[in-house]
Amino acid sequence: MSTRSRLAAVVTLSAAALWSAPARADGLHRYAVIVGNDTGGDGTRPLLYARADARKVYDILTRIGGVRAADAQLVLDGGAQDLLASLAATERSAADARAHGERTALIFYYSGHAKDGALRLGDTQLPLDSLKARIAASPVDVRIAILDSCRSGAITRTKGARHAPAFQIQAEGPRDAKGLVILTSSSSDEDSQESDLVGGSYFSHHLASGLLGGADKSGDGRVTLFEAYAYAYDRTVADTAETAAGPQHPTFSYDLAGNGDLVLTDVAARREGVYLPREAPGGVYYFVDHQGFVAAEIVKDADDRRIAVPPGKYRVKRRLADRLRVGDIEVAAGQMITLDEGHLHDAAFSDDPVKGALRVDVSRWSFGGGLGYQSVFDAPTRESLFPATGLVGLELQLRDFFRRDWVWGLDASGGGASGVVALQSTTAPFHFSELSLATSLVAEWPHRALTPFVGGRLAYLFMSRTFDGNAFPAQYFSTISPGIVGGVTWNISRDFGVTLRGRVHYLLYNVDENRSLGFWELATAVSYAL
Amino acid sequence: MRSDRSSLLLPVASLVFLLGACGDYSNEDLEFMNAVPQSSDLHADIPAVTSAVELADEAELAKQTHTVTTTFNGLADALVTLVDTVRSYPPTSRAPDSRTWGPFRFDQTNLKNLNWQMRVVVSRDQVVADRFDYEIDVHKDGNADTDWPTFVGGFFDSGHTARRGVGHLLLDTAKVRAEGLDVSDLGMLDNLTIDYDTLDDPLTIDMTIVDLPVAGSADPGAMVVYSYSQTAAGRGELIFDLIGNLIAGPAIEDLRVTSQWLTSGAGRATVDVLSGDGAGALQTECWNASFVATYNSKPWAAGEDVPTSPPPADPGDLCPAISMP
Repeated sequence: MSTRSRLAAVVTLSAAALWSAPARADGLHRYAVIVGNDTGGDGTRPLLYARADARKVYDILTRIGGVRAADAQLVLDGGAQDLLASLAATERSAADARAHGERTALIFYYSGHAKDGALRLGDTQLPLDSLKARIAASPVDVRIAILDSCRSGAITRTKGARHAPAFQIQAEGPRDAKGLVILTSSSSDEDSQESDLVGGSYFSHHLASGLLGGADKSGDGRVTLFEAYAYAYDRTVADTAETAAGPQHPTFSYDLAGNGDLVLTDVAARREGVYLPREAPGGVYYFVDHQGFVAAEIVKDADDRRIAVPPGKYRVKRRLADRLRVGDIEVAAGQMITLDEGHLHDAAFSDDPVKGALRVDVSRWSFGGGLGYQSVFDAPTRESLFPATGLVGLELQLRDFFRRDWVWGLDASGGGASGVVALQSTTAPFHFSELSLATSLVAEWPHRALTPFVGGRLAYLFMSRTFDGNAFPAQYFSTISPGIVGGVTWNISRDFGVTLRGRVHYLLYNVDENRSLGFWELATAVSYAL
Repeated sequence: MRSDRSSLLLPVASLVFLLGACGDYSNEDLEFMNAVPQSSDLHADIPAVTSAVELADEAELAKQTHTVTTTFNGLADALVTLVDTVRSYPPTSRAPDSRTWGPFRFDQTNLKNLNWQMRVVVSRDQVVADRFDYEIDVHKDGNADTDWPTFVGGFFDSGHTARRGVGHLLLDTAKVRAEGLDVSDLGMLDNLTIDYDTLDDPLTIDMTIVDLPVAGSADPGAMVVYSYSQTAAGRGELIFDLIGNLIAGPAIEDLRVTSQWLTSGAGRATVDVLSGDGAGALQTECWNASFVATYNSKPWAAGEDVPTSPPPADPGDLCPAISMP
């Protein structure tokens, strides 16, 4: 083994050791099933940030939460069967570990719709009682369920959910903890609210901020389950107190045998992130990443804080009564940067980097190709000017970029046909070719199997023809053609879909005279989500 | 942040629009282009001499007919090429009833007419239905914008059948010479006219070439008239009139050569001095499908007669019967 290889191995082992710090601390082999689904089927409006919240929690747990990536399942836009399948797979792995004498923990997180006592995953449902029973029966020592959904408190109601932070568990020996803990984002009669300002649900946002270090009230560099909950509770209630939907109260239920708190994240072991020293002014610190996310929202009191944000550039904001304190920092991999007032400068409220409607980058690319047929409505024009044409096309689509369930597309297609011009004294056979480059913006209504869509399209058309025997010079015409598009996509699987679409376009022809023409297209395409 | 992304739409759409609508994709253009004659439209077809025939054995007037036909086709082709240029390029500008190619600068390589421009205009005749008029106009830099004398003009009456119709073409050097255009490449040519009818049977093509008078001479310029006709069955006729002072003397001679042939190639021709010195002289020659003379009566050179002597009482047995409508 070369020196470089040895060094890489040492670094890898060291990183793995740091990664599993929380697990090593309490001897738990941790597993996680993290579920996010923006859709809830009939009678629900699509959420904006459920999947993003799930991704955020997944990142935290696998980075500083002691969950190895191989032991974490991230289920996005899956149905109830997908959830249960992932849970079953995780349980099998946990059972194996347990059989080898390891103590195990399962962290289940769900962000999405819930209604009438059931989780709503797309068009499928999973009763809360059933889910609770399933998790309670999981073959692990410690089970933690975190539900971020409307009326999720219903799952804790029978166990006497409490509005924390009124109660606490004294941490004497976490290694002894066994049982079930359930956190919910709202009580049994409350909605769970999302916020464009924080780019996620209030509860998950504050839970994530707490796990990154904001909740480390003890200052020992470890965020326990109760610390995280207490932090999320306080901040969620405070943020939702003035919203139109009213205050939202997270709930907490536990059934742990033995005493002890559970360390969820270790923000000190990794020694990576931002350090707020004791002398740093108190208040709320916002860490906005380069994409505009509020990566962490930390309440600083008299104690110091370690914020385990991942490496990257951040804009930090602290709000004062009459101005902002703003500054840019960069966290390098493996470095803990100390943030002091020297990093910040005064800024007006108008320069607030946290302005709301923050972007959640959940956009997805897809690529596809297909066949189509195009024909001008006007028969004489179709016969002698622009003949009906078969087309072969490619398309690239970006979903949820401009707005949720909006699809921005780029497509290119080409085709050819033969035609004949009837002149006064002769005929002129020709070969017609067309190249089309277009952009479209459509709204779609995703359902589990079928996704109808409708929208607008703007095409650049380049049409040309050559005459048999070069009897006449080649001719071309190019124009911009606006149109509408509609169709339906059959979602064969998560990644593959078959689309049947129709288009109607306006075509201004202005060579001989100004003529308003129209044409239609029918096409089918196979798409693959990248 | 959402508004920032939406703002991308406007510049993207603007960029696309810059590509704009343009082109020359036009059925109407084809109609205008189709109005000008092609070389194949104005082509005299005569059965060619095969390699089996020794050129030395070819009948005198058959050879003359071939030579004249070649000249005829060359002249027609040269003139048609001038206007047929429009068929190679899309028009420069369009009006509802006309298309214009140009103006273009003259070819500068021969250092002639450096300050001249030309244009080709094809228009629908506003009086005669289905008629297209065309003209090649020239313009000298500095002259009035409306000063575009016509160098070549013509018309085409569409016959509503495959490239058939009636047309007229005139190349006239008088106006452009007067304006100062250098047409020395055309020699003594004053004007050249082609009238053709490819619609009827037989199709006809008439070409008239008028030369300028010879300097210092009181005689008018020489004139050559070709009249070509061909039936659908393949019989053909070419009448070649040469008018001028061909024989020294005061009189102007009118020499007519009338050549007729069958599809097989066999034919007959007469040379007739219609007026002037030698008026009334007549040569008659006939040839077979191999273009070898079967009969020749040439009064002014009896030694060339075929058969030599005595001449047959009735040459009809030696000459093909050819009737043209």
